[in-house]
Amino acid sequence: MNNDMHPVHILIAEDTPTDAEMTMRALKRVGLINNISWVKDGQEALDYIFCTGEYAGRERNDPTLILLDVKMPKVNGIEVLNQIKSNDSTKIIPVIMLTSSAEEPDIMQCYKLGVNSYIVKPVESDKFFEEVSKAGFYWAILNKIPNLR
Amino acid sequence: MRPEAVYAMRKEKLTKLSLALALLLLVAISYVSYRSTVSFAESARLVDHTHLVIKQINQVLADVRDAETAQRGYLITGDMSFLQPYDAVVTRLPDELTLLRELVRDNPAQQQAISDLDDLIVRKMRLLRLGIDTLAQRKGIDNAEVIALVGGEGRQLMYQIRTQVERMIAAEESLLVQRAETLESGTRATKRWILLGNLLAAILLLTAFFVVLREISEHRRTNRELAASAAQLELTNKELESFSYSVSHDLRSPLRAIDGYSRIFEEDFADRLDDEGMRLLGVIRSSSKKMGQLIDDLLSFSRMGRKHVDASMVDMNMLVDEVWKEVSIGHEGVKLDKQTLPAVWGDRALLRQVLLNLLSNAVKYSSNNTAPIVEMRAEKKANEIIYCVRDNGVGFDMRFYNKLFGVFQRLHTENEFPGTGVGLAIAQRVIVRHGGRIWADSKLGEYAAFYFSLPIKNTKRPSDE
Repeated sequence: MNNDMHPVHILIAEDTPTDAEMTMRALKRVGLINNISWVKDGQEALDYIFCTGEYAGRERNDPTLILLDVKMPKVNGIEVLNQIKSNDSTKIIPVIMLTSSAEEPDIMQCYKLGVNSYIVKPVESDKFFEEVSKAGFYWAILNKIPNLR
Repeated sequence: MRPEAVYAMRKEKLTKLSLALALLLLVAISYVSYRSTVSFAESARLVDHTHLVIKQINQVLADVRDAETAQRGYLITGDMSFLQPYDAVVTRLPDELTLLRELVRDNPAQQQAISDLDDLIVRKMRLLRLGIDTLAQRKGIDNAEVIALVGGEGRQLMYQIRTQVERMIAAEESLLVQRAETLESGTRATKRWILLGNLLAAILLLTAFFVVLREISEHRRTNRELAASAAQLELTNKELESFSYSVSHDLRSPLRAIDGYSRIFEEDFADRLDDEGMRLLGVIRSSSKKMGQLIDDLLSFSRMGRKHVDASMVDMNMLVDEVWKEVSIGHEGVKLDKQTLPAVWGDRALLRQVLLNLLSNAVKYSSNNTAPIVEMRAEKKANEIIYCVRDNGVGFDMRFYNKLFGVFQRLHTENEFPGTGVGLAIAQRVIVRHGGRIWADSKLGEYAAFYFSLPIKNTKRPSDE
């Protein structure tokens, strides 16, 4: 598989710790354990990606996949998506919205901004684990992701 | 009745009364004017008549005087030619007197006066004739005799005639003055009445006008207030919608955690849990699932209230077939008996939701019947189409009809038939937003029938809110 060539580096932006933990657990089911970073709001996500703020000292190492919640404190997921997709150096990074919001306007806006996938988190845990694992498997393992370096 | 209503009614009465009174006044003024014109014409005629009478009296006097003058001439000269005017007067005087009598026929006092005048004239004329005859017989007459014939009784009579004529003319003139006065005072009174009446009518009309004007401005103000409160209501409604949306949205996350962590717990600690532990965990998980379902339904109910109604002609036959395929999965025993359904103006996605809810209910509640059948009918009315979904299932108790369309209201237990009690609430919401109605009837253990009407419209789009 291609992650032999490019080690998968996933960024999860999620303000709810339980959702973040469950997302990581779901990814673990398909073997995605290493190199997962978790940020708790939109501002932190932007700082992480662009190596600013508290991540100013971080060596620029773009994630190979970003999972974004829509509803987050400070900067919401849609704004984060907008900044990622409007920056030449980051717009090729696949972004998945992983959110509770099934609102049509949100979905529409995300696609207009160039989101790669939009997944509504199921309330039921069996479904949640299954769907998030599948998404992780597809985007991080099955899908060929661009070589960023 | 509320005080405003009483006030409005009083105002309306006042307006009507004012208008009626004004109309009555105008009619009265017209009548007075007419009467006045008629009496004016009559008075004018009477004045003319008086002038005519005076002229006629003078004419009679002039005749007598002419006759006297002619006789004198004859007496002095003995010339017969002087008698010509006398003869003429003798011929016409009776006619002139008759005419005069005719003219004052309506005045008894003048009638009497004419009789007196007539007597005097007859005597005078007789005396004149005597003088003439005397001369004719004698063939000559001396001065003293002429003077005796001309003066004396004749002169006395002439004086009486003149006095009588003057009296009669004076009587006529006083009548004339009287008539002119009557005419003038009548005209003055009429003018006053017309003026007063017009003034009153104008006041009444103005009153009515102002009342109506105020009514109109009040009406406008009420409309503005109504629009404002409608806007306020809309805002409140939107706030409520977004509140219920965000509440149910925010509830999902902890709920997912409860279910997810129970699941993780079950996975990671299964070997250390006994049967009772596993059962308790199972209760936690099934309860959180149930709550998730409730929240999802609440969310979709709230979404129905906010969603824009995007209307077009909807092929209901196609829509029902499509929905039926979906709801009959796993219930292959249930038959659909569908009439050809008329197309209707509405939002396809929203109407699909209504049919989905009604048909899935029909399938669900008839599933215990040995030969379940769902009927789909429609009836076109003057300005609406009524659709009906009927099943031969368990039905519901009509005593609880008022709970039927309520959110989270259920008439069956979860064990009998699973559900959250949002389906009919959503259906009602959609139908109401389309400007239609939804209702039902049932007989326990026999059937349940749900009806919804949609306007045939097309003058205006269904309300967006």
